[in-house]
Amino acid sequence: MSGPAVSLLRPYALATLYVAAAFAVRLLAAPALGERSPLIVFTLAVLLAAARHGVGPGLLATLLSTFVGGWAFIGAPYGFTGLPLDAWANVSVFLASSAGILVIADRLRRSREDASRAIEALREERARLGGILESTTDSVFLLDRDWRFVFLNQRAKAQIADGRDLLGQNVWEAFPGVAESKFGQAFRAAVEQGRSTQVTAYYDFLQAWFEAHAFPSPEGLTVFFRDVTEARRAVTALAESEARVRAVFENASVGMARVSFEGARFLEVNDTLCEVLGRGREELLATPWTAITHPDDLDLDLVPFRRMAQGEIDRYAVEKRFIHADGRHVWARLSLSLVRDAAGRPDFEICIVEDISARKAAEEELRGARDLLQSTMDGALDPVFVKDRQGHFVFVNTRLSQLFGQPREAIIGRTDADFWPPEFAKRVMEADRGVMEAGVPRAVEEAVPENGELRVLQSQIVPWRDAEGRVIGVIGFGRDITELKQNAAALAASEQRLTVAAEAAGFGTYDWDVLEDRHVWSPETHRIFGLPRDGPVNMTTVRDRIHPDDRDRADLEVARAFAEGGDIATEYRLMQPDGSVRHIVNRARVTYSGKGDARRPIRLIGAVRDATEQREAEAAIRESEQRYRTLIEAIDAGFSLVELRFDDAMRPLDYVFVEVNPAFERQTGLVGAIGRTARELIPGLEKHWFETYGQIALTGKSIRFENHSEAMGRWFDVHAVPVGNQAPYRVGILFNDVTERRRAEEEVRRLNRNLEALVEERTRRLEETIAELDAFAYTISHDLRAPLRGIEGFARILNEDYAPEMGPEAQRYARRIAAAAERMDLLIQDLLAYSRLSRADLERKRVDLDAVVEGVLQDHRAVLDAAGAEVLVERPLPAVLGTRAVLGQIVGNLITNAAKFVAAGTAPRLRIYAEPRDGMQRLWVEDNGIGIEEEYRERIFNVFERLHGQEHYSGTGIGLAIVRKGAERLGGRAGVEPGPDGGSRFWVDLPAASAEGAA
Amino acid sequence: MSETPDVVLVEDNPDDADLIVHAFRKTHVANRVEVISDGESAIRRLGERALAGDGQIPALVLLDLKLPRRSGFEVLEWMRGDDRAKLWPVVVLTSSNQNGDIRRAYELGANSYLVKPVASEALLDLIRTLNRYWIVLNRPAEP
Repeated sequence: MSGPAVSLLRPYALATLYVAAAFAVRLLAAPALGERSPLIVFTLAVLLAAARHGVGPGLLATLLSTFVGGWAFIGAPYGFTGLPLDAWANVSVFLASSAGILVIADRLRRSREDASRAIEALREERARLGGILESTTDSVFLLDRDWRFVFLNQRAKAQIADGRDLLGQNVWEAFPGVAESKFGQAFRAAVEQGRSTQVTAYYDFLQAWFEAHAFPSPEGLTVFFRDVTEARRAVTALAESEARVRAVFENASVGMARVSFEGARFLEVNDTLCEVLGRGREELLATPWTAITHPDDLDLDLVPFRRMAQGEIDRYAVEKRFIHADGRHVWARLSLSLVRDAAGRPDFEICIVEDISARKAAEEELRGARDLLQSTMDGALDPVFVKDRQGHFVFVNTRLSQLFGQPREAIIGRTDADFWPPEFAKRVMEADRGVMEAGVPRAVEEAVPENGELRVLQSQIVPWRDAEGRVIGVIGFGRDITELKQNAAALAASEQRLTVAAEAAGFGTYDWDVLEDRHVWSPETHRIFGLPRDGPVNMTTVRDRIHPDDRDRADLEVARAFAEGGDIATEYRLMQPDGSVRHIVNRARVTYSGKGDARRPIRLIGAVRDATEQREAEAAIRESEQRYRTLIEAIDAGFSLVELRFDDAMRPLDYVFVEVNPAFERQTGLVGAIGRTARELIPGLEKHWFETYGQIALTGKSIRFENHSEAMGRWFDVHAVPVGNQAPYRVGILFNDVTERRRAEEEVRRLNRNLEALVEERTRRLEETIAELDAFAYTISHDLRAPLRGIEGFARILNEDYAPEMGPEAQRYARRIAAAAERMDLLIQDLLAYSRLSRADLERKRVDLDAVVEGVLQDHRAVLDAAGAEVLVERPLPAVLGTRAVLGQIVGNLITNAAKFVAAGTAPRLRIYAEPRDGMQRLWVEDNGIGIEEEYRERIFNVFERLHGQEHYSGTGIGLAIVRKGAERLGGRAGVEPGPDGGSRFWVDLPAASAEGAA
Repeated sequence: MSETPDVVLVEDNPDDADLIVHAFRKTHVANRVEVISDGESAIRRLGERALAGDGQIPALVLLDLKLPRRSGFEVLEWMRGDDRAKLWPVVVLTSSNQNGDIRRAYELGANSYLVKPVASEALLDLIRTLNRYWIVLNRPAEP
């Protein structure tokens, strides 16, 4: 059997055992008890089972007891069926009491279990709390309400127990004096007032500072505490240190400040700094340091300051000038260190300010002295240098620097070896060393190359001694004796160079020894004077050359210069051997010997320049100027030279007349203009005048314009040109009064406007007239011909129907009436055709001349046949541009004309052909007619032009006019030439029908 | 052709009318020519003849254009708009040879357009031609 099953069954087994025991006891007691209380003992068994093992075993015990006890001690004698009432009562009482026992036993057991669980939980809780208290960084102890220790964590034990077991001890007893201490007061206060208290105090007994927090609870007091002795000590130390620092800060002999990076403000300053800067503390604290720093030095400080503000550098030093309250500059040396905050970020700057004005002043003085020395030495024309023992240059003057061809800075600190060839440098340095060793000056002469030329230097080398007299270098004074060394030949060469230069500049030089009348001339001088180089030159020859008119003046000038001194500057003319005249400019200086009254001129050295060309050019300019002046005086146009007046902003305000020509007055009507301003002369002169001239003067660009001046009541055509475009701003103005022309133009414009209206009116009337003409033409064609028809018709009726009654004479007259009427009708028709040709708009199309000629021949067949005419048409005829009707009229008239004018008795012969000519098609109609004399060949094309009387050749005299007019209307021409066989050849040029002309 | 044809001549100029009537007579084309001297009368008379029917239908109407009151164009327009008269042959006989007149006459339905000749020979030729074509050859169909 397994364990759990055994343990589960065990209570029941025990319960059974209890019942068996009770049975045994009852059996034993049976003699004493008899039949009374048969089940009383079994109650014990039930009680025991239920109390020890719970309800289940209790119930088993009850049931077992009932059956066993009941059977053995009640039922046995009677059997159950016959039980008396009191037996049932015994059993019932037993069962009821057993049930009560069972309930009570169960309750008991349960509460016991609850209690043990609670105890367990409490134990765990305490362990946990102890753990927490142990693990806090603070020390902690718990007191009960009687101030006895109930708990101390390990830290607390270590700090205050000192090896004692404090649990259970009274706190006041364990720690003497604590009751009277601040701690005691705080603990009591916490308990009495029921709120937490805090206290920090020194506890003598343990010789330490403690900080304690007391928390009251119903059980007592919990106290957290900490030994703060070390922290207290650090704070005190800090305070002491701070006090010391402050003392230093405040009493330091140097200026000190704390400076914020933000706004460059002083956070704190000490008295010394205030003193150095001559400013009050409040003023300094309110002023950024940048505001009291010399502007020139600002960046010296500001640049590193900014870097420090970024945390890039931790300290820097700078020498700079502060501005003292009284305005002077205070030189200061600043040492600055960065202080970072706890996070390592730049917090502020500690600034130590040393007043170094005195040092600076000394330095300045020293520099002044050095500068004085330097400038003194620089002024020297000879080279000066100082070298230290090692041969390094420590001082050089300008001349030496020139000689070396190096700037001073490039020489200082270097040796001769750096500049010269080794051999030369070695020699120099050896010489220097000799001087230093001997301690005595020595003179050396050296040839030093300079600019590719050897300069000869004579140097005095002197030992350089310090205050103790030790030789610490050499001082050298050089002397350039190159020039001295140069010989006379070189001098001559130089002189020659000068002469060449003079000649190149067009100067001839001369040197006149007055006493001996000896002349030394340069070749150019010979040329200018026109005197041969090998010929004699003396006062006479020179004087003879001078133009007679200028001779006296020249003499006077020389005499004056000799007497008074001073240079000669004169111009005169020279007569040339070839008769020409040369202008020369003469400049000369007199050299004297002796002084005062004994002074005598001995030489006259000078230069002459041929100024002929220049003078001629000037004369030409003068002449040209004169010419232009004359021109300007003579011209009709007004001319004025004006000078502009501007305001400060260069806006033109006015102008002054500087010059005017005579026409000026005529053109403007202004008198006495010169010297006066325009606005003065012409009040109310329009702005645009001087604005325009101002613009010309400023831009230098000429302008031509026409403008009106209301003030002068005139129009001007102006051509204004700048005379330079700087002060004095002058403008030349050439102008004409064009008022009349303007007026005329205005009039023309006005007339033009009228004319347009007039033309419109005329056009309208013409159109009306044309319309009337059309109506008139209709009238002619219709109404005028109607009576003709009557005349002709009735005349003919007379002739035909009434001939016998009229007689031959009357018949002839009637015929003539009819003929006249017919002619009249022809005339009207031709005139109509002609006038229609002139007016009609012709829309040209491609027309085949073949067809036109064919049609015309058909129309006139009867007439042609009657005349026996022979017509030859050379086909094909070309196509031309025109209208069928007009071409028909042209060709018809030509053919009838050709057929008509033939000599009596001759049959007309016509030849019609065409040929291209000048891009046109020329149609020819050739006849064998009577021909036309040359003088009439043009006239016949006029209307009503007849060469022959009506009796010879019928016709209206309009036919050829129609031909020409028609040809012209089609864009062609018509004419006549004599024919090959006496007759005429009429031609018509017609536009050829091109491809695009086809319709 | 038992009876001579009947021609209506609308012509305001009495000279022209006489000459044309004379020409008809001379050429023996028609002995009945009714002459009407203005447009309004022409419309009235032609209307009456149209109403009267068969016996009154003219063989040819000769119409001048320039007429008092109503022009020849109006007469022509009326005829072409009248059911009975619309097929009657109309020849415009006028002195105008202007293109506009010619075009308009044909547009309104003239059968022919002739310009009055001045020479009387030409007039006779014209009448003969009219007769040949319009009266003999081109008789309107019998209704």
